[in-house]
Order: sequence, then structure tokens, then C-alpha cells
Amino acid sequence: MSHSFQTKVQARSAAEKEPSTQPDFIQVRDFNFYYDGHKQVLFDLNLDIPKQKVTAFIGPSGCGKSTLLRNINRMNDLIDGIRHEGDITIDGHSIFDPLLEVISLRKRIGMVFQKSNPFPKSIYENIVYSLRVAGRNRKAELDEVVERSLRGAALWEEVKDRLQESAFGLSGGQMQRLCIARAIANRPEILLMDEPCSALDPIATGKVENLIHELKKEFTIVIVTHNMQQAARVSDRTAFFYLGKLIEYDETEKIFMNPGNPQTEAYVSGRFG
Amino acid sequence: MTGLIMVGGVSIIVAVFFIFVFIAFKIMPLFRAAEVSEAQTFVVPDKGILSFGVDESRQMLYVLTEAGDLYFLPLAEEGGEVPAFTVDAGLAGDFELHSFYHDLQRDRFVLTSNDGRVQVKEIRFTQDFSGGTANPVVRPSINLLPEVRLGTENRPAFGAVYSAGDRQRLVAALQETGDGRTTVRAAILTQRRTPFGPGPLQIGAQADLLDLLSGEPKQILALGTGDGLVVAYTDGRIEFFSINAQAETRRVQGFDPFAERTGASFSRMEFILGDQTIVFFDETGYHVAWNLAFIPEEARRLFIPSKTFDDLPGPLESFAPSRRNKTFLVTSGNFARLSLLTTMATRWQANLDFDIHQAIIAPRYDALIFLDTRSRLHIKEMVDDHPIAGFTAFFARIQYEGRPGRIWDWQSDGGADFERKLSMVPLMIGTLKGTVYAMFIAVPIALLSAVYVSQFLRPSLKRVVKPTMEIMASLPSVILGFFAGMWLSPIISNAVPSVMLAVIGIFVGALITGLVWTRLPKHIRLRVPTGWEFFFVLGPALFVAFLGWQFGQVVENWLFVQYDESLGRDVGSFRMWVVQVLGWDFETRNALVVGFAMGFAVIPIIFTISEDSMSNVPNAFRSGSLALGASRWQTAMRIVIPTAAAGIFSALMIGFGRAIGETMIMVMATGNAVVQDFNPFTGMRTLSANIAVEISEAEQNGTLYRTLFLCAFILFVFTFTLNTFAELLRQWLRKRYRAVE
Repeated sequence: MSHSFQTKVQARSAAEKEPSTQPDFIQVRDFNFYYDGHKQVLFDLNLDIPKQKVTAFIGPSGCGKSTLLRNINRMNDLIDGIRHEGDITIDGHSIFDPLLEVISLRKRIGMVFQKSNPFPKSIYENIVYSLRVAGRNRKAELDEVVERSLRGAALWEEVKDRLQESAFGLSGGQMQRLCIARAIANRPEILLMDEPCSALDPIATGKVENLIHELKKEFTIVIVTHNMQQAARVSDRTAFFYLGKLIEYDETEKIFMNPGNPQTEAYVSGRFG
Repeated sequence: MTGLIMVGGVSIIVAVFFIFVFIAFKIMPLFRAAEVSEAQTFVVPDKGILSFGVDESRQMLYVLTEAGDLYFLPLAEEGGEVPAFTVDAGLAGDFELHSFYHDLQRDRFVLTSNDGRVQVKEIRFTQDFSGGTANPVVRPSINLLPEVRLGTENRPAFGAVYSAGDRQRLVAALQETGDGRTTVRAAILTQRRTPFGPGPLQIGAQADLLDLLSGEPKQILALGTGDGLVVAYTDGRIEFFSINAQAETRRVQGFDPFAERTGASFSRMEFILGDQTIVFFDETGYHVAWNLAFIPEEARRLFIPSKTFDDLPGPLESFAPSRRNKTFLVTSGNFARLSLLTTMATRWQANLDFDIHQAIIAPRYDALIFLDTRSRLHIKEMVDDHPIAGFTAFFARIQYEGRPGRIWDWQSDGGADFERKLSMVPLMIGTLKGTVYAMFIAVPIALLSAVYVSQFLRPSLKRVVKPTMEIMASLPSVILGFFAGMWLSPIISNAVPSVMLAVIGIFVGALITGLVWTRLPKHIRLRVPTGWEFFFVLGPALFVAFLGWQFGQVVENWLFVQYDESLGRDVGSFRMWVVQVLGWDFETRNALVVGFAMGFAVIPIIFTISEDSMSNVPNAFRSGSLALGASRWQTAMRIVIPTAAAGIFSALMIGFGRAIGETMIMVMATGNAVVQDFNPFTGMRTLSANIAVEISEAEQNGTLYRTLFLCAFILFVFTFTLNTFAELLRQWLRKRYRAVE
């Protein structure tokens, strides 16, 4: 486990030095998705997500943006009666490859949820959880990871003196940043964020948005958001979904300034949604 | 609405509290001492009374006077002068009274004369209720047995005793010999059975124990069975002789009850009700009890020391046993004490304001009657409904009559002169034993299935599995008990190795399949949809269990071979092996059967509640953990179980509570024998089963009735303490792993 991770990290740092020749890191191809076997929620999606950029999924509630997000790390697997057609690849490899273990897939993809969900453990144990489940228990390494991740999530200064206290003692914004720190602790390549700021106040939201700017230097970020300003502020590319279909996908600036589709325009200008 | 809910809640608390108070109220009298009222005094005509007794309804006294006359005196309703003697049945002509023995248990005088004759007079009272009043008319009569002449020398006899056993009747007395020594002579009375009923009593063989005696005898007692004599010497030694129908005597045992007291000299010995225990008194008021007990090593009944009582302030003046229970009344000067043999407890004691000549316990155990040295009779009404109860009786190890050694035992009834054994301890142990075995089987199965169903099983299957388990909970326990007792117990007890191997087989089979599974190539393993893996474990696990069941017989024939005497050859029998090699008892209805049956009753409860609590762990935690690359197992172990710990703990406690109070399965699936070990091959008697089994024997407000309430009380305290403790722990767990709101 640890060996393969090392190779992966090395492979990735090599890629960092030499900008990827593969701009479309995550590719969604002809993707259809059904609940209960027949209830289709995603229709013929085709989408390329570039590396080390922030890609925002926007659209009204129920448009399927979260479903697509949760397909990228196969979090939908445990739901009964799901079915998909088409394919999603990461770095050219299908995530639905029958020989791929879903656990190793998820180790490469961090996820931040809409509602912050720290475990009922200490701050420290929350951060190192992903390492512990991977069987890495060396104290020195864990300490280092905790500091790096908390610094990465801009939380270090606030919590460094109470790492052993319960994570539930943090404020809402701190908790969400803790969840981000936890998600990046194991150095994933991709960070999925499912409306990470919807439960936060504007100040906390600002902090998280600044954080996303920092994080995209290292991670490929996909963020689902209801907040148009947020999408405009943090993302490089934006995909607009409506009723399970991808309506428009382009540079964020273009989507907001000069949308090609009237539905997109109606949505981003606040006329519906 | 909230008001209504609050009223409901408060009234439940009040109701529970009321039950608690009610039970406490019911058991309080068990711990009370005897209450003895002020005396009611009568003046009795002074005729030189040697000894007296009273009839059951306390209407008529009988007295033996120094002149050897026997009188009956009616007692007036109120205190005052007792009227003149009404019946006078003097001694036969030339019988000159030399000594008497008054058997208060049987209203019987054994009288001796100066010339070696022994007379037995039995006083009978018949009660005539035809008058229609509450108090019957009492008519006395005297039954005179044939006179026995001991020896041939016509020398004075004294200290005579008479015993009418079922098989043998015996008259014995001390008698002076010509050379100034004292001997013990005994005569067997025989009675022929005729077609018209028993024939007249005749005097049979006689025995003279002079050659067997090892000292100067002072007092003798005859065993109630009529086949033994206890001889006390002046120096305090006791010897126990057996005597058969041919009057052949043999020394059985010699002992010194006063060995602990140097220089003590013997004063008196008397039987307690049941003729199993003798209380020995020395001349200072020290007294100890010895009882007959079957000694396995000797294969016979011998006297063993059993009880020591608080010393009397002076030498014993009078002694009276109760004829209702194992209490006895002793007096010395103006001091009187009512003691209970079984627990050595003093039921009542006092210094009275008169010197006591003789004291007796009224036949119905409802009064103490004292005759003082000035011919006044003092009747003290007594209320002592539960003499044999008390902390010692319920919780201490006690040496009971007939059994060597101090034990805890429960045996609530066994006849009029039986020593009741009311220890709660074996019942508490039985309760714990039943509960432990039930939990031992139920907890692993229930918790593992709850983890599996909540964390691994596909939701669509869970929707079938969970209600099925819940239906199991609604199965009446009488059905479970019936199946366990009638069907399961013979199967299990005949095939213990098979059952064990089958149970182990399921676990081993599952583990091996799991191991093989992880070694399978990815392309096979990953084709099985998540949540369906159990399908591949189930078959092999059941198969290995089946192999275990089949293999059990082989193991039995291989490892547990014992010689069967009835068949005359070696057979493979685990049951015989347990009995012969381990030396344990083996009952068909044993703790294993109870474990399985009770497990069946407890599993659904633990399963349902703990599954709920695990399913109720916020999905955000599970998703969070899975998204970080944890496996489902890691998620269950590291996140779900700690978070649900409070709920799982509640489930265990509720299951425990169910097991501890479960009655019907216990009654039906065990033999209800009182055991005090944790041997899996014997049954048990639990507090709850005890209540159910004995309830039909318990007369209202009697000792057993209240003792059963005590069982209920202990059960109540058990569960109450357990639940309180569990709730505190649960609160703590909940605080520790509280989910974010």
C-alpha cells in the first residue's frame, strides 16, 4: 500500500516539474446514470476536467451536479439499484475498471462534504485517519502530516495548541477547514468539494475560498456550488448543468460574461434556479 | 400535551417506586424479632408441680406432681385463680415415682419407680367444636403403655426415655447396680401386626450396656428412630450406641461437646424438633448443638458439631423445644431466651421479674408459658411469624441437619420437622449462571450480525432481514422453553461434541472463506457486487458446520471412550466422560440448552437495538471515512462502532435485563435444581424461576410467601443497580462520542 503510494507521489512530483501534456485529467465520456435501475439522472455527459485547475459545477438543485461529483470517487456504489453507462477516466484509466479496487481509487481522491463532518475524535486523529487506515502509524510521519495538512488548510495557527481536543470544539468554519485538511492529508491528486461553503458564514466562506486558491497549485479541484459568485471567484472553468444535462462548459469568465446558451445566461444572471 | 406526557412520566416513576415500596413492605416482617407481650398471670393450686404442659388451644394444663399424680386444669379466659383440678389420674397402686422425663414435643411422661419399673403416659387432647364457639371443648385422655421392668434386681431406675420409631420402639433408663455403679438398660417393645390391625405392645429383648459404658452415665436420650441411644457421662463425654431389634448394642461414636471448655461438666442434653439435633448444656450455661449427618466416608450417620449459642447467665433451669419449628426456650433463674437452632439467632430474650421454675413454648408457637417458683403461671402472647428468616438464613453459609459442612441451600419445604433452607445465594448464582450462558451465546451472534446488517448488507436485503429478526423477539418464551426442554435438550446432551464442533465450524468456516476470499485474484473478487459477499461465505460456513456435526461422533468415539458397565464394553460417550473423568455432574437440561434457548430470546433484542444505533450513526461519518479510502470494515470498527457505543451498550444492558428476568425458559429448559457452580452441563434455579415454581406452595403472608417477595426484591435490586450503572456509563459514552448536532 505504502509502496504504491510512494510511486504515485514520485510520479506526480515528476509531473509537477514538467507540466502535464494531458490537459484533460478527468474525462467524462457519454456518461448516463440511473437510480433504481431506470430513473435517469445524468444524460450523455461529456466533460474534460484539466489538471491543477478549479472546475466548478453549477446548476439548480437536482440538476445532477452532485451525482456526477460523487461518481468520480464512486461514492454512489453503496446505493442500491444504481446503474451507469459510458465511462469516467482519470489520467486515462477508467474508474469503473473491474480490476480497480475502489479503496485505492478513493485514496487518490479527497472529498469535502457540504456539511462539515469531522469524526468524533480529536483534531489530530481526524487528520491522520486516512493514514491510519492505510496502515501508516509512525508517529513522526503522522506529526509531520498533521502540521503540513493544517497549514495547508490555514488552520495550523488556530489549533496547534489543542490538537488532542475533540474536533467538535471547533467553530463551523474551522470544522470545514479541518475536513479539508483531513482530505488533503494523504496527498490525493484530486479534491472533490460538494458545496463546501453552504453551511458557512461569509467570513468563513472567504477563508475557504482563499484556501481553494492556494490548494489548486497542488490539487485538481472539482467544486459543486450553488453560489454563482463563488463559482466566479474561485474557479477556472465552470460547467452548467440543468436537469441532468450539461448545458454549457467553458472558461469561467466566458460562462459568466458571455454565456453561449440562453439557459446559462438566465441562471447565472439569477433569473431562475 | 407536554403536561399530559409529564403526568404520564411522573406516574410511571411513582408506580415503580410504589412497587418497590410494596415489595419492601412485604419482606420487612422477615427481619423482625419475636414480639412477646406482657404476661397474663394465673395462680395455680400448689400441689408440688414437677412439670407441666398445655393443649394446643391453650385451654387446659396438665401437670405432674411430686406425688406422681397427673392432673388436668382448665384455664380461665382471664387471669386469676385456676379452678380446682378436674381430672385426676394417679399412678397405679404400688408405683412409687422415682424420676420422670417430660417429652414436651409429644406430651408424654416417662416415669420410673424405685423398684426399676418404667411407665409411659401419653396425654391426648381431643377438640370438640360442636359447641359452635371459636374455642373448642377440650377433652383430655391418657394412653398408658405397658409397664416395663428393667433388670431383675428391682433397683431404682431413673432418667428413662421412650422412643417410638417407625420400625422399632425402645424404652431405656439408667439403673443403679448392686456394686454402686450405674448402668443403662434398654428394652425393645414389639407389636405384632394382625389382620385386625396392630396387636398389643409386648416387651421384647432387653439389653444391659454396663460392659460397653466407659464412665458414670448421667443422662440418656433415645433416637427418634428407636434404634440408637445417646449416653452422657458425668465428665461431659458423650457416647452414641446403636441397638437393634434383638437388643444387640454396639458403640458407634464417642465425642466431647465441651472439648473447648476445660473443666466443664455435663448438665443436660435435649433434642430439638425432628430428633436430629441435640443441644448439650454444661453446668455454667454454655451450650452447643450437635446434629446427625450422613458422613460419606463412613457411610453412616454420625453426630457432628453444628452450633454454638450465647452462654446463659447461669446453669440451665428449664428447656423446652418448639413443636412447630427449630426454636427452643431455655431459662436460668429469671432469665429466659428463645433461640433458633438453624441460624443460632436469638429470637427473644429477657430478664423476667420472677424466678422461673419451668418454661414451655405453646404448641402453636403463639405464646411462651412460664411457671414461677411460687406456683404462678405467666402466659406471654408471642408473635413470631417468621422465626427461620433473617439475614443469616438468607445469605450465610449454614450447617443444616443431616448434611456435613456449612452450605448455601434452598429447599423450602419437606415436612413438619424439616429444617427449611432459604438461602438466596444459590438462586442468585443460578440467575447469574443462566444470564451469563445466555449472553455468552447471544452477544457475539447479535453484535456481529448487527454490524454486518447495518454496515455491509445491501439495503434491499436488510429490509427483509431486520423485520425477520424482530419477529423472533415476539416469539413467546414459553414456546422457546418448550422446544428447549423437550426437543433441544436431549439432542444437545447426546451430542455435545457435535454441537460444539458445529458452532465452532460456522465461525471457522466463515473465517477460512474470508481468508481464501482475500487471496482470490482480483478479477474474480471484484466481479461480486458490493454487499453480496455473504453469499459466498454462507455455503462454506454451513458446510464446515455440517462437517463439524458429523465429525463430532468420530471425536466422541475417539477421545471420550468410557467403559459402560451396563453394556459391558467401551463406548464413546462424552456424557460419561464428563461424569467419570472430570467428575462433574451432567444433566440433560443444562446451562448449554438454556444458553441456546435464552440466546434465541435475547439475540433479537440486542440485534435490533444495536443495529438501530449503528444505522443511526450519521451517514456523513460513514461517507467521510469511505471517501478517505477506508474499507467498510475499517469504517465500521473505527467510526461506526465507537460512535454507536452508547446505543450498543444499551442494547447489551436491555438484553442482560431480559435474560436476568426471563422465567419461562428457565423453568422449562432447566431441571430447576439448586446448583452453585458454573458447570455448563448442569441446570440452575434462578430467582425468577424460583418464584414461578414455588408460588403455588406459598401460603399468603407465610414465610415462603415473603421469601419469594425477597427473591423478587433481589431481582429488582439486581436490575435496578445494573440499569443505573449502565445508564451512567451510557451517558458517559454518549458524551464522549456525541455526534455533531
